[in-house]
Amino acid sequence: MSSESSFLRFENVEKRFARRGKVIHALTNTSFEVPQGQFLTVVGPSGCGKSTMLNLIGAFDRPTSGSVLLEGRPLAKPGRDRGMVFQTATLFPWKTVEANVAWPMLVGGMRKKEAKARARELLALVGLRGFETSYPGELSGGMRQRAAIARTLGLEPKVLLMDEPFGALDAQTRELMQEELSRIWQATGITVVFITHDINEAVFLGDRCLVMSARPGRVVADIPIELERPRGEATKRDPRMADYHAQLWELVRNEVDGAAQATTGRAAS
Amino acid sequence: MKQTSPPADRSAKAAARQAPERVSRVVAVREWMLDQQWPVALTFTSVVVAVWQLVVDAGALPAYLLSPWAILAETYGMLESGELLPLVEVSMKREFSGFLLGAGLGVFAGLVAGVARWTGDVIDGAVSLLYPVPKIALLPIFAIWLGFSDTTRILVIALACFFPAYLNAQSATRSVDPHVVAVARNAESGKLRTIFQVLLPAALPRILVGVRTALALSFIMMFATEVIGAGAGAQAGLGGRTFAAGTNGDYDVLWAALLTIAVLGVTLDTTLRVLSARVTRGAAKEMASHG
Repeated sequence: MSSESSFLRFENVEKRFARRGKVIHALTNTSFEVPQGQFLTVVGPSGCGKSTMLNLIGAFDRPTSGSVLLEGRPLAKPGRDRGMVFQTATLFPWKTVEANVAWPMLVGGMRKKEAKARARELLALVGLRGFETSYPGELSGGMRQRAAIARTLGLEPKVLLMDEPFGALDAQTRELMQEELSRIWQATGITVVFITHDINEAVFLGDRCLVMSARPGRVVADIPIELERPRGEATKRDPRMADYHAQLWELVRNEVDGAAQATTGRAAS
Repeated sequence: MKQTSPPADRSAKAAARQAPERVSRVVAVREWMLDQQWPVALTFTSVVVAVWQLVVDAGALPAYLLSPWAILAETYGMLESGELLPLVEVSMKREFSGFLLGAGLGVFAGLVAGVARWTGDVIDGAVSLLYPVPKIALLPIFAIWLGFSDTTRILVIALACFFPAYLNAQSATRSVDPHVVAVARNAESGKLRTIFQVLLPAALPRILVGVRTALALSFIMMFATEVIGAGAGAQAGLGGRTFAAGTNGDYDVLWAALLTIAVLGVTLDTTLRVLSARVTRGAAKEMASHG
């Protein structure tokens, strides 16, 4: 019953929450759709509700009003069909890398032997062959994030939710991880919603990029990124990358400036 | 062609495979010394003991300070005469029962308080009221109720052990990274599974810090509870015997009992340390790589 265009859908979503006695209006009137298999990136000024949006899809949080639908069903609680990758890897430090990746599969009722084999496959997919028996503490930041991606893929999610997953990595590792993720996405065909504050990253990875406004966040621009796949090092030197970057930066900058003015000029509210 | 791009961190893997490189013997010995703490500790202790023995032999110390050799000889004497082991048995029964009861309840209550915040808020009121009270001050109160019995002593020891175990377990559980719990929720892990397979192991290193503190406290409290209202014979325990020896001027017995307590304490603490290093080995690696 899921028509392709309404695979994942935000309908007039509002989100307010209270923090330290103040009401924060995180998202307002947010509506968009993500077709199955699309790689969607989201950029915007910090604090614009990007992470809130992801938490709503993950259903770690509920919208104040409006609805978030996956294949036409409203999302009520966290589930294996939406796999989350956080900014830091959050692996279990007491388990080996392989056991970390296998754990969610065991929770899902898979047999130990099967889970182990599948974990090995996934670790190979993310380029961690040979590190199965290492502990997370023995890996670099980039390798840990690869392991976290493998663990999330083990949930067999329909949507991969990524909240600035490369934000904590050094510049070189980040570049390589972007290429790797592009390759993994191509290999799995999974739908991705990817939050970032790095515009180049958003252009390089995305089929399409949403620009969010300053708080309260809403979608101010929806830009298709028409660069050929597979994308790799050569894509990064493509002059169209710079054009997209300029266009998106212009939009984000307006929001950042607007937010700054709103804060300085605010007396009411 | 980018499809098969090699993993970025392969160089690290290659480097790991090439190791171990040849290192000079001097460096190797030094690294081993740094790695092994016991030779250093042993050397230092031997020097202190030797100096102590020499000073006593020179007659430079008052009579109540015995030489290490004299203490060892007396300890052996008490062991052979059959006086020491019953004292150890009585004291250790009190110490260990109190420790297990207090630390066990403390860890359990701490976990519950960390998971379900409202229970924590309820318990914390009572805890903050009782925590600063010297637990030994409660001994006479328990004694009115139960006499100067083993039960009284065990309860007071347990009470003292409860606090460090509870406080560490509670804050350890509360400070587990919420993202780690989110990973479990994402996998649709049930509540009990999340508690036992995620929260507990994540909090374990810090829980064990509290348990070790409780162990040290249990020895202090064992001694203190035995000094007050001490029983006769073996029932005096190591604490009661030490104190009586001090008042009677039996300084050799006093030192022998103290040595016995020290040896028992070190043995139990080392056992606990080895056990906790084993159960938290992955976490220890994590800390090592970040620290």
